[in-house]
Amino acid sequence: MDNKMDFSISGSGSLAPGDYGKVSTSGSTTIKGNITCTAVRTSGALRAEGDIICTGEIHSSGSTKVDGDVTAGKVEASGSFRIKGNYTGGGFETSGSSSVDGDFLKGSIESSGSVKIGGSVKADRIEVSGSFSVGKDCESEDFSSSGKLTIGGLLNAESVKIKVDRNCEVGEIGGERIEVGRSMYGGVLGFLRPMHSGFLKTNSIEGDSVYIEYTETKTVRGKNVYIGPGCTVDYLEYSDSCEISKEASVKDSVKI
Amino acid sequence: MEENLITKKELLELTGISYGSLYRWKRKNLIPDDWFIRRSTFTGQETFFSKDRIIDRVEQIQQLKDTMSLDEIAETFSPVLREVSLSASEAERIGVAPRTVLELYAGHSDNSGPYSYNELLEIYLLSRLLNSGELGRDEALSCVELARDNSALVADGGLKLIVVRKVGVAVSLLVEDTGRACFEKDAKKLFELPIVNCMSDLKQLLDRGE
Repeated sequence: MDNKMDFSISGSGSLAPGDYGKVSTSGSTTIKGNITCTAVRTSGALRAEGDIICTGEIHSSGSTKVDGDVTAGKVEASGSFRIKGNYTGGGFETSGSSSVDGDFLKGSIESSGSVKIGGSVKADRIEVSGSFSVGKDCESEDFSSSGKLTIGGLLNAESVKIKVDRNCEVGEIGGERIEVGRSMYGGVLGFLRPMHSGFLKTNSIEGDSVYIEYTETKTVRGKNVYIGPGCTVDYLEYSDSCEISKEASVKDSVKI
Repeated sequence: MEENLITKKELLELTGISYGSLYRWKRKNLIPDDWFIRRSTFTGQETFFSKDRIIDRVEQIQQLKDTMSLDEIAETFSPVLREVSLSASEAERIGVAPRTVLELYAGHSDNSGPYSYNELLEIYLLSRLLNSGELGRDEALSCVELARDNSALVADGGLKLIVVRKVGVAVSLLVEDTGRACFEKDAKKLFELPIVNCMSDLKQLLDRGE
């Protein structure tokens, strides 16, 4: 460890801008500008008036508010965690309520609470089970969600898995494998039944393998397509194979 | 130039790529976001591409993807300006331009090297213009001057060069890449080239030459 100063506070206090080692706070702390550090651990109320660049982990279990951008090796937050600027870094793991008003530029998202991104998202992996909302486009290699989902723009992922347990709304979906369905449970007689009653609403779905249930969309385009129960599709275009459930409504379909 | 736009579906049919690949390449920035042109049609919103540019790019990716990772290919395409300095003979060796073009450029701009990235881009452009066989030397050189006078705009990569001729006089213009331009009936379009294509070609030449 080079000779950067560690900072620890347990009452109420403030921290000057600068270059630090580990920063740990358990009271109410204000950071008065941009800081660089190797780790942050906070359990009280932390307010940063500038940017935080943290080479290690930011661990927050209280309420953290950052007015600027955050760059971190990893974020683990269980209380409320808000960033007014952009986020760049490693894993963003939250179980409380978190938000990034700007863009999520790099990292992965794992959350069981509520995550709200105002701008666009570029991630390696997204696994969310609470509520997840993105203002613009959302790109990830893997995407899986099982709670409430709202994406303003395009959801683009190699593999998209959406459990529509609540009502979900996505501008457009594109990728290689797209799967939309409800979570199931085994009933008394062993029949599988959907656990919830949500629907997905989207303008278009385009993928090589598309398997959808309980989805309302204008267009579906794909190679191998399955349109399951509860779907309403205005126009379907497929190149290899297609199966449409009796409980689905497809207005027009074309094999190309 | 409406006829030069193709829909996503047409692109897939023409090139044989899948939706999965197209979206993957978009995620990896092999196809820039602003190449996806959104237009309203009677069926709702549709995505279009500028035909020549996207087909060129897809062919390049298909050639490179067996030997390079997608991230490496993205690196090749990114029009980031680089610190380079090449002598005229090195520029000739790696294939930026043949000797005659280099001599023409040296004589015209009183600069016989070593050349910076911007100058190499001008030389490469000059070579492409002369190679097209449509333009005379002076006409090609005035295109290069146009690019030089607007070098800051050119560096963004979002422009294309168009050369038209009417009654024996050639005029060159730089227009937004995705913009449309209409010409009089008796004006003949001699040449059209997106600057970003020049940049990625030059980058590949430089990478290979290293």
